[in-house]
Amino acid sequence: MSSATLSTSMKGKGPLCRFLLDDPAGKWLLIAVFAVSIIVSGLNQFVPEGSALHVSSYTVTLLGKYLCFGLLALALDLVWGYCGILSLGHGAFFALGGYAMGMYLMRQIGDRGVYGNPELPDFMVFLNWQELPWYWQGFDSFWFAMFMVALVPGLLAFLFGWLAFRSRVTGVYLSIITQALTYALMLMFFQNDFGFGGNNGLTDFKDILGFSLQSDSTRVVLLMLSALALGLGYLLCRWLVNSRYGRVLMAVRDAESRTRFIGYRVEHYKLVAFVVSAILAGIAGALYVPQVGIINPGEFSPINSIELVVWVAVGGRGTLYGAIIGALLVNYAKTWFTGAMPDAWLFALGALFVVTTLWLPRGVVGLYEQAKKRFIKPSSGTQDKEVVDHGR
Amino acid sequence: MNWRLWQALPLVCLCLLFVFSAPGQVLASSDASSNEELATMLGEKSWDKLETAITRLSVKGDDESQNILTLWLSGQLFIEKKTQRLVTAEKSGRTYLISDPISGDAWGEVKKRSLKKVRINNRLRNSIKTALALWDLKSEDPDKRLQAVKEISKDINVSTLPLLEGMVEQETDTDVQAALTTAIALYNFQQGSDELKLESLKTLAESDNPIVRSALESAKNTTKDKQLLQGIHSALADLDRRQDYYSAVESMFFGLSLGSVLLLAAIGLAITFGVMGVINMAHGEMMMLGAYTTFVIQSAFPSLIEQSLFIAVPMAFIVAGSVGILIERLVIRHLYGRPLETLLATFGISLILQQAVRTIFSPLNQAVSTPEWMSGSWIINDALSLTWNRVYIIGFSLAVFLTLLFILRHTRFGLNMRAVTQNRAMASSMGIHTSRVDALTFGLGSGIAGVAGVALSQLTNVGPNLGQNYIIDSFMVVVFGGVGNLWGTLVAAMGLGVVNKLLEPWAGAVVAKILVLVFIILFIQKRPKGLFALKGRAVED
Amino acid sequence: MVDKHIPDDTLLYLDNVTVSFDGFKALNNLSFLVKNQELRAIIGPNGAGKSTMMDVITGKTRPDTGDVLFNPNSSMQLKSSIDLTRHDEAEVANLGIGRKFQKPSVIESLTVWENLELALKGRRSPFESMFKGLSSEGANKIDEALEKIRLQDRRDFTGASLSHGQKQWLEIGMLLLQDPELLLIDEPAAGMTDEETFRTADLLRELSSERSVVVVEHDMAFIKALDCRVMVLHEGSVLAEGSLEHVQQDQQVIDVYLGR
Repeated sequence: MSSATLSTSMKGKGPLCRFLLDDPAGKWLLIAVFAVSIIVSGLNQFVPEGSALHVSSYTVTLLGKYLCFGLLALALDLVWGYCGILSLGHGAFFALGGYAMGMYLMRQIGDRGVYGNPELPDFMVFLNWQELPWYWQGFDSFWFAMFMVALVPGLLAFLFGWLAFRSRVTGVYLSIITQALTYALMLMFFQNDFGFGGNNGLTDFKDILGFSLQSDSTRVVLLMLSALALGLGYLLCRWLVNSRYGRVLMAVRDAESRTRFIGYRVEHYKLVAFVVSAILAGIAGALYVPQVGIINPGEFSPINSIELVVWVAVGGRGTLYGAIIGALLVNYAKTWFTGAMPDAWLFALGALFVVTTLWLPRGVVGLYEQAKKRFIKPSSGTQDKEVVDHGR
Repeated sequence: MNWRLWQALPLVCLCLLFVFSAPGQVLASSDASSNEELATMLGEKSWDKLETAITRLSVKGDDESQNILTLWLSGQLFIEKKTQRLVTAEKSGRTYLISDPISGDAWGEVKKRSLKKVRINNRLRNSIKTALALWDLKSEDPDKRLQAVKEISKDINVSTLPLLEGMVEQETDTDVQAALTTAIALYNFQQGSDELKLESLKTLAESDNPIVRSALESAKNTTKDKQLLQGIHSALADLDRRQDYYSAVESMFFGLSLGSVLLLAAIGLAITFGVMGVINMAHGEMMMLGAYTTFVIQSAFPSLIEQSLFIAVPMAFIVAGSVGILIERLVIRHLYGRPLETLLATFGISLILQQAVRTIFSPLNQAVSTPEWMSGSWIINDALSLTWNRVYIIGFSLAVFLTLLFILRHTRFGLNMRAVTQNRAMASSMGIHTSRVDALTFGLGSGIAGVAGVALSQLTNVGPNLGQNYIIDSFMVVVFGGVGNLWGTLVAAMGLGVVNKLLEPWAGAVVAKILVLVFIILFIQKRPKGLFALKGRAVED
Repeated sequence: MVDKHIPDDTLLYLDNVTVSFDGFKALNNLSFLVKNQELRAIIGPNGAGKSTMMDVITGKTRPDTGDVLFNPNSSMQLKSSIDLTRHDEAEVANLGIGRKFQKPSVIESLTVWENLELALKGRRSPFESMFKGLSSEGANKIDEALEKIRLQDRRDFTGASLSHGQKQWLEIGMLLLQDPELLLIDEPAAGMTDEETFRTADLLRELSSERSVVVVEHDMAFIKALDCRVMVLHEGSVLAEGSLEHVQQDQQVIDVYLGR
């Protein structure tokens, strides 16, 4: 992380510049993400379909999906890697953001649904509902929906975190109750009369802000927005962990009660990180839904949240770029496996959990750095910094 | 299930053949009633006349009449139009095979339109049932007599009353006697003088028979007499009170049986998590292994379904326990003191085990049969019956709990285990093989999960996801009860089970479950260490 | 509760404090007071209640009964008399009570400089920590502390890379920057060389000229070097109090330490 010398010597330069100079890996990752997104978009838009260089819209959407997962992994890494809160329920925030977006998209369908009801989504007509429930009000407005994308996960995280951190629920206890949280939400959303489409969730979306979701140009725009969100999210997290706030977070992670005795309200620090992280997860979910075209209660299932944990673990927790790399790698592997040998995927994922925890506690990023250390003799000063970088 | 039915089919047919033909053959020789006579009697169009016919047959009381009534009730009795004789008919392709209902002699094949069905409606059906019940009243089997009395009490008339009254004194079975008294009281209540009605209410107020309730309910609306009305109301209140009591007992029972399932699922976890501090996310899969062990044993020895569970319990313990020890040696051993890492690694293992089961068996649920002695219910009275499988599960879970408690408290292994938990270094220096104790403890926890799986195979679908469905609940129980405290686990499991079932009637199953989850989440905030937390300096970090 | 007679220059006031864990009384009607700018040593055998006493003062443990007051001397103006049992660890720390643990606990993944910056007085809320940078005055204070604990050449090394003694010093440096009115120190000399021990004693004496310092220690040589009033704790209450010589001659103390 930032050493005091570096940050003092660079005072006066813009914060963005400072981060990026201080963080070569993050810089290159962001550049790569944007470059790939732009190239893929370009090849999709401007190269004719028959050409060998043409990229299908399937690939565009797939990449967009990966980037959303990257943002989600980043969100988890903020609380797990820097604050020691292993949330096994982060998928819930992702799904809530997704549902908020899904509700907007549902309202946009208007009377083009199967039942042609201009006011009610199909599933409500099917259930013989007469009017829109109060909690669906306002979702016809894009900006209101976007506000909810951040508010709902943020509020839930705030309430849950406020209770949990104040009463000092930590470690595995916290993990288990976050898992119970997402499980309870899953059961709720599966209920038909809960008003979110039950089993089937929300789907059959037509367009967003008037642009058809089926068209390639909309898909490309959504991909670029995902890349942008990931980039901004990365910078936000980077700024947070690099500030004194981030150092307090790490202090909380390493020695919670000591930090308290220095006079920091640990619960407030955790709460802020948890809420920020939940909002980022919600945004990731909101970008994910229009690209995949569906949101259903399965997104709340505990296994999704725990799979997310393995992305971060594989990438290397406690390094923001590592989390993103992990999400991209694991999801690419998943796509490959489900295509080539679907039955082997769960074996591979299971093995990944075991292998990372046993032999790769710092993920692939740590592996890379070990390799670098072995082959390139470092100067004595940086060796210690490496230790700083990856906490425990 | 189905294949058994098919196997049994010939047997059933044989029995039916015997039942229906034997009396006929006997009676053919006696000239009790001719087919002609019966045909005129049953060929009537008027419902009332048909009703009389039932009474006549019933008064006659011979086996032949019973046979005729049975056939009538099942709609197999016809009049052949041309010959005007009474026949039984069985469909065979497009035509019907007809035979003499009395002798059982086959009379050839006719077309459908040459037959006329003997008329029947709901009123007649009830009358026939009552009439048939009279035969059963004389049966040797008290259960049959009880059924008969209940059937008759649905509709008592002057002719059946003396029969019942005569029976009361001779009856030896208390249940049948009570049913008889109720039936007579019910008759008195419906037909007797006002005094008799009041008198009978006392008896009726103690009955759980649903007919009594409906009789009282309908009388409530028609009765004018104030005193009588008051009596009816108080009798109904008695019934309500008892009904509430029974439904409370039933909810309690369902709660306890759910609690037992939770206890079985959680108790192994209480060992690995509570005693060792290891978060075993693969715990659910250990249960799954136990359930599949049951399935394998039943498939391997199809003739031993009745005994299969007794073989499955120790086998499941061994299978799940060995897998547990293997996991401990290969993975968890390297992760002691890092609970979050253990959580992730064991989750990975759970995925591998699930997929392994999918690959080896199939992704679909497997059919595990329930032994005869576990099916059916334990009928306590008219309003209350408990299913045997749940009764056994409650007993079984308590047995497992007590066994575990015994192992922990009174065996050498239990002592070693507690020593290692409390002070590893000291235990090691006293010559305890700590790593062996670790492995065995984990094996014990997993083995118990396997045993739980055998029990679960009797209650739910046996499939690759069996474990997943229970893992969160199990964790909730352990955390709620207080880690490291087996009694806490017991209280938490039973408490959560009962609360869940008490909430269900007004909240619905899923919402009840959500409420319980939310309650626990909030409870953990209030008491992070659970219900029965250990206090003192030892547990502070 | 404040109408008991409390001497004017009292900083910390414990009266009849009892704490029990499952029937075991860790503190048993413990009463004592610490004056402004007093240096006080507390000794006592294992299980005498020293750590529990510190836990009670710093808000980690709530006493079953008894009063724990901070700044009680200003009983006329109730405002500044603080009931410590109503505050948690962070609040107590911000009221001006610093605590050093027996086991050195610095933040291992942060550098020496960052550890000190973390401890620097003020700016405790999350938002201040995000938006409020380090003032040059603050930076100077950190440099001063760095000099005092002689870790200038280690400023960019992580806490994890320090030796045991260096960690002890770093922790003392952090306490200096917290600038508390009352310092509670648990066995500071443990694991230090003789030379370091005496330097620590000197430092503590120097610190007590501006604030009150309470030291729990086993090392008699160290206590002798502190040259201050000594209190002996036994089974949760005060057994004897006075100068080191006085305490050492007390028959009860000899009994407790040598066994009956």
